[in-house]
Amino acid sequence: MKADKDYNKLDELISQTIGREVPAFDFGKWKDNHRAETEIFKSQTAGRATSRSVRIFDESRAIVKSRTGRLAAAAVIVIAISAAISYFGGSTNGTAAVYAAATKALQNVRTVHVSGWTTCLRPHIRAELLDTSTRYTVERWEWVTEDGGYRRYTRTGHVTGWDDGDRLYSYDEHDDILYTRKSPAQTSHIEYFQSVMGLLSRLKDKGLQVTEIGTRTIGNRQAKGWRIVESDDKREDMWLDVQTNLVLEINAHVLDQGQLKQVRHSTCTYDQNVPVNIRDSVPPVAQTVNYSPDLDPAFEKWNARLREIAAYYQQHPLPETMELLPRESEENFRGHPRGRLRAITNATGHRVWPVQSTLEDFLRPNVKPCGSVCVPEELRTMKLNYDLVARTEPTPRERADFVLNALGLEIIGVTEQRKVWVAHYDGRPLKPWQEVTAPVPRGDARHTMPGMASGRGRKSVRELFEDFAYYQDYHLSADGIIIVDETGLPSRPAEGQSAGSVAVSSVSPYWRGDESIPIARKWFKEQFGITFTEEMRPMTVHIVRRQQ
Amino acid sequence: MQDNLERQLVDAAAAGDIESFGELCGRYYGPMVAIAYSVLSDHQLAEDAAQESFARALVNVTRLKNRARFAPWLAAICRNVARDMVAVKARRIDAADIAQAAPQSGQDENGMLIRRAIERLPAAARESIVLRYYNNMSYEEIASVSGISRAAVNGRLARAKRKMAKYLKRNGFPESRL
Repeated sequence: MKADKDYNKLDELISQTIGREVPAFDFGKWKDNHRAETEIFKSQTAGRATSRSVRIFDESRAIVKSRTGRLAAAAVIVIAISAAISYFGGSTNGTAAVYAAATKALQNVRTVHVSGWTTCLRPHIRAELLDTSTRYTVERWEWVTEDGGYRRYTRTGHVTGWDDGDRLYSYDEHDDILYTRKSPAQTSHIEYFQSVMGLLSRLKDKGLQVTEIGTRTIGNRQAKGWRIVESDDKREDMWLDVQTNLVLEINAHVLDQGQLKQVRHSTCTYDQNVPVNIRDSVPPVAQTVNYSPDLDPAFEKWNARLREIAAYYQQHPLPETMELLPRESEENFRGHPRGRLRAITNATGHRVWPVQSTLEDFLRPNVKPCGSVCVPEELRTMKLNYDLVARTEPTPRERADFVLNALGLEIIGVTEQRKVWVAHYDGRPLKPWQEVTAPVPRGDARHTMPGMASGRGRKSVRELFEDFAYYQDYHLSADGIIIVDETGLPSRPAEGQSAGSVAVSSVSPYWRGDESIPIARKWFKEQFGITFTEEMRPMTVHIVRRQQ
Repeated sequence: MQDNLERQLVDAAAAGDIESFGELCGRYYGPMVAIAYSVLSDHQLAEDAAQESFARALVNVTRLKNRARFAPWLAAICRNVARDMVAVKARRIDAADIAQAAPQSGQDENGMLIRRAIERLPAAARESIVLRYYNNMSYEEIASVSGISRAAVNGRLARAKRKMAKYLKRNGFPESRL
């Protein structure tokens, strides 16, 4: 087993995967969006000059000084505890039993229909919750099919949702976007009817205050009410049928600037026939369809290709090192790197890399150092249409060499005089890497322009220089600017230190084209005190050619 | 550890100085977003949760008894807010939810495996990992926000990474890359 200190690479991988620059907090904007809380806070603290807490303390001290006072205080405490138990609920006021009875009753239900309104589509955002100017109609049907499956149709304002048992869809009418992802597998009845179950589960939530609020008639049903207090300013009243124990009505309120505002009203009915237009409703054909990664058609095709390769290796020996399999179809589809082969990868470690691009695009990320590769023009656009199957984890260069060899090509190293930028550092203290951002903000730009952030995550000086050469010699002609690092700044972490210890920037900018050059010079100078001098130096150039 | 300035800010906020409260929010926005992200796995919702926790903290800060433990108190509020939002997400499938599940650019299979490994960690370990790597906090800062010792943070992170490495290896991730 590895010692903890040896997980440096894992440190870097986690950081690359979840590392993120949290935007600065704007308290002014926050106050604008949270006026109610700000007002409550001001009213709470305005009276502090009168020292209410001191006054109470003084009174209580006076009481405990006398024996009768002490007895009276004890009685008050007992009464207060009793009142609190009665008010706060929990098992003492039977909410657990109510929850159990309601859940049991729900198990015999086939259809739930919830209708009503809400004042916001995203109730977890308080600013939206408090804006009660618009009421969105809510229509929700959930039902169990004849074969025991679960279906759902919801419509809240301009957003309509479907769960057809296989996929979840959500259609935003305003933006004409259809979102889709896999439907979660509901395996028990208790997972159905989320509209009601989600509310009922609050009855047994020990963190909430639950209290009885009496009985009333709803339609022709007698209902018992429970008030669920989430915080000082948020509450829900839930009314349950006295006979059937099913939820009949829910009303949610928030306290805003001393006023109680209703933000949601729902009525529930059960075992109605689902209207045909709801039951047969399907998602529309939208202008934009947004898939979750596991459903993206591009990946579906890639997954089908992986199944095909796995089937091929049921009949053929797996390669000892690597094998390049040609594709029959020239259809270009997106594939994630290092695809897994069903029933093979776990046992043998074999993985698949899609090789479906021009030779230039394939070699650019795989042969380092960036800016050193020269591919003759007639080879650059050679189309590759293969999958590379490899047993172990080959390095990018090993993969590149194998593919080139399979294509009858090779790389030779020659020394040439090249124009280079020699980087010098003026020794100034460097800013924390998190504070170094791209020179050109992205804004709403649809395309990446020179100076905008291209890659995010901790970047060392060496990585910034490599990325610069990568973009400057994008077409692998070995005539772009390459940087020789004479800054003396560390490029690799010292023993026992994480990769973050050599990070200098939170982004790597996009440096393609001549217009990038002045932006880059300015950025490196201002952010790091790094300047460049141009020189001619002998450098190794990796030339790709046909095998001789 | 809470520094003197922070203690002064908490005292001033509890006495009604809203700008001091704003200073505290600025200090803890990043950690709170990270804590919420460890529960929600959604950047946008995590930022919403952090802002909502400040709202709850503001109306309760006058009642905060142990002012030396402002950060752990705020973190507890943030965890609760984030958990509430998970419940809301579970009940409501809206456009924003699914949009967040859309593919991230550059997210490859390794990234997804690592995300899955993080999601499988126990809540406290997941939170420590996210604080450390999402927000690049030091062990001392994590200890201060989590209300535990630096040694405990060290232990949590080490155990979490061991578990992650085990999961990744079991799922075909090459040991040489760990």
